[in-house]
Amino acid sequence: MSVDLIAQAFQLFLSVDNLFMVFLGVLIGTVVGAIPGMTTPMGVALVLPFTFSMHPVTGILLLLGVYKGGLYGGSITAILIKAPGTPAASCTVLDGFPMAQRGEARKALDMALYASCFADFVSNVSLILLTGVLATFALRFGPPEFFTLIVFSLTIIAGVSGDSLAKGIMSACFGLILATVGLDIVYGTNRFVFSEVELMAGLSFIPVLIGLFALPEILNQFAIKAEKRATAGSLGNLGATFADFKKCFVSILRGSLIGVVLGAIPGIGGSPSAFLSYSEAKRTSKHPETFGKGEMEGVAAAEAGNNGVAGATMIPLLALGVPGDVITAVILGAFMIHGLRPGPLMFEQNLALIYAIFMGIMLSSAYLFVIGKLSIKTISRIANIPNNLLYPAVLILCIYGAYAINSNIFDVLIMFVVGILGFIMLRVNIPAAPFLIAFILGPLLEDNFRQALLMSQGTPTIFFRNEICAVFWVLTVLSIFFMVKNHIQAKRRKQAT
Amino acid sequence: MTRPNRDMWIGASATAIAALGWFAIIPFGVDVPASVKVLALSPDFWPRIIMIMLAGCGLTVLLQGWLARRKVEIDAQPLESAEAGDVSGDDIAYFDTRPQVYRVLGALLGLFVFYFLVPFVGMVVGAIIIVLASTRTLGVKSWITSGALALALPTVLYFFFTQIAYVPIPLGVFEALR
Repeated sequence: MSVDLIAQAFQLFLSVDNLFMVFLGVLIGTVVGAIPGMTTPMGVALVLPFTFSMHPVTGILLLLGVYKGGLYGGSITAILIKAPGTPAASCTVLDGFPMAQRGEARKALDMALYASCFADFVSNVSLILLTGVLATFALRFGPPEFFTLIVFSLTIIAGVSGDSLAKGIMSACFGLILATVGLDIVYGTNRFVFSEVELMAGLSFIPVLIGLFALPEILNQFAIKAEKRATAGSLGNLGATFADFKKCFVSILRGSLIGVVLGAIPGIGGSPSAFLSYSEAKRTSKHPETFGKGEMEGVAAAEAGNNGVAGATMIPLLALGVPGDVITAVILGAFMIHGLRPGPLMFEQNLALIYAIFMGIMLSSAYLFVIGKLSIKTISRIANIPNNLLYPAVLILCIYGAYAINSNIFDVLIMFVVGILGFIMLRVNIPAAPFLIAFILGPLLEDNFRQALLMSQGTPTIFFRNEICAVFWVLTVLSIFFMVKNHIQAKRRKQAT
Repeated sequence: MTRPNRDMWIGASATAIAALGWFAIIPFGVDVPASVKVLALSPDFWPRIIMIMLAGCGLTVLLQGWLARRKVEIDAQPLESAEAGDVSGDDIAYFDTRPQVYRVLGALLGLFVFYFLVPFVGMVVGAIIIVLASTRTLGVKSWITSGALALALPTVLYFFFTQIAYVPIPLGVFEALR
């Protein structure tokens, strides 16, 4: 890395336009992420046309700012009104919303911000230092490796099943079966479409997400007494302290690293990373029973896992020209509009530009902190709105959000139906989180399972073809072993007391 | 209903859903082409695996509930402690009063009425009606507060989605006003 190159990169990066656009991007992303139904890819796509006339560095930094802001913004509504703004923030609901109900919304929002910024920083550093190494590793992932990774990720379900593992798996089965709706990927035949054209593309994620988390809570307002409603949720005056951050640091660091590794693998995304990080935090915690009931470490772990992917998804994009998710696919489009083609050749021909982007990415972490702090003070006042006004407003937000995904009123119906299912599950104490995890991971699991079998012409030994598969199988077995062991120990402790 | 009884109901329902899925919904809802050679690649392979898992979980919960009920019967006292599992969350398992049941049923009905009304009155007017109805049902006394929220929020969201996000919000019979 020559001094000349660094000087060129600084020259490219240090302009008022760049400094302002990164800020604007993070701000737009935070707002977009905080609105249920406005996804981060939607925000990036909306901003894309404005970048056409900009310098490539400025345009790409604006898009990256939206991406990073969106990842954090999703957690705001997840914590305050149980309506995750983005799919990746759905794990934050598990402990964030109970904290808000307990009057610790500000603490939860603070911790989400600190974990997000730290994970984002770690991810950015990894992007700068490990692009070559991680891209090579990620390229070794084919369908069998993906399948074993997803099987391992599914052991998370045990961690979010609450008191009854059987009910947790039952909930996951409902999620898995809903994920199979649509056209079959191998034969193109109908599965549970029942002649309804709208169902051919499968169920959209956001309506299911909102229906599962936000709508049951809204319906529950009609089912509880007015005096109980009035006391639920308040902002709280105390934010998270440095001592809180220190307490959660191990989970944040672990979540960040999980995010980096999973983010570097194309097609995984933030949601599995958040759930895996959460599950590991719970598994290693001295008091796992507090998770799901408003444990600050749960918020920290989920947000670290979610934001840890932010920089890492750029690794396969920059190193190989392979987009890791929908957002990086849009960003790839932005590169190409400016006549640039990410990949090994770009490292030879436009290294200064890549370094300038790295500088902007690092700056975005700092902006995220500033904007996050400012937004907590203003947006978090939502928690002080009386519930009999807040929940009708949330309902309307959910309806518009579900509709906006595909401009389709059928998605609103999907949200209502899943909402009723979620409400029944809430009333009979069946956990919703396994449903969601299975709904996210189910299609990945099935697609990779079948693709692997197609590759091997039906021979199952392909799932043991290399050391990556072996490592994930061993991790899965170990995870199940410790899960059963912990379950037995907890039962014995309960009987003893 | 005690928790063991409720668990037995949940387990039995899940098992029944799995049986229904296996014998009726999958054969009726999944098209399996004649060219399928490998069983694991068949479009109905995965749904059937899920139904087996669901039935297994249903039977487990049913059995757990039955064992817990037997224990309660043997102890001959109502189940209050965590002997048959943690009972946390049971406080929300039942509605406090009959009006609350009607309110929930009314809310559910309102959602579907909204869905079928949207093609006629549009999303903005539908949302205004929903906000008015739900705020009043949830106990907001002031018509001014309810009305202000009902008018402001759907309108602001309409302008946000149409003007900034370029999402066409349906207006029904008011389409001419666009």
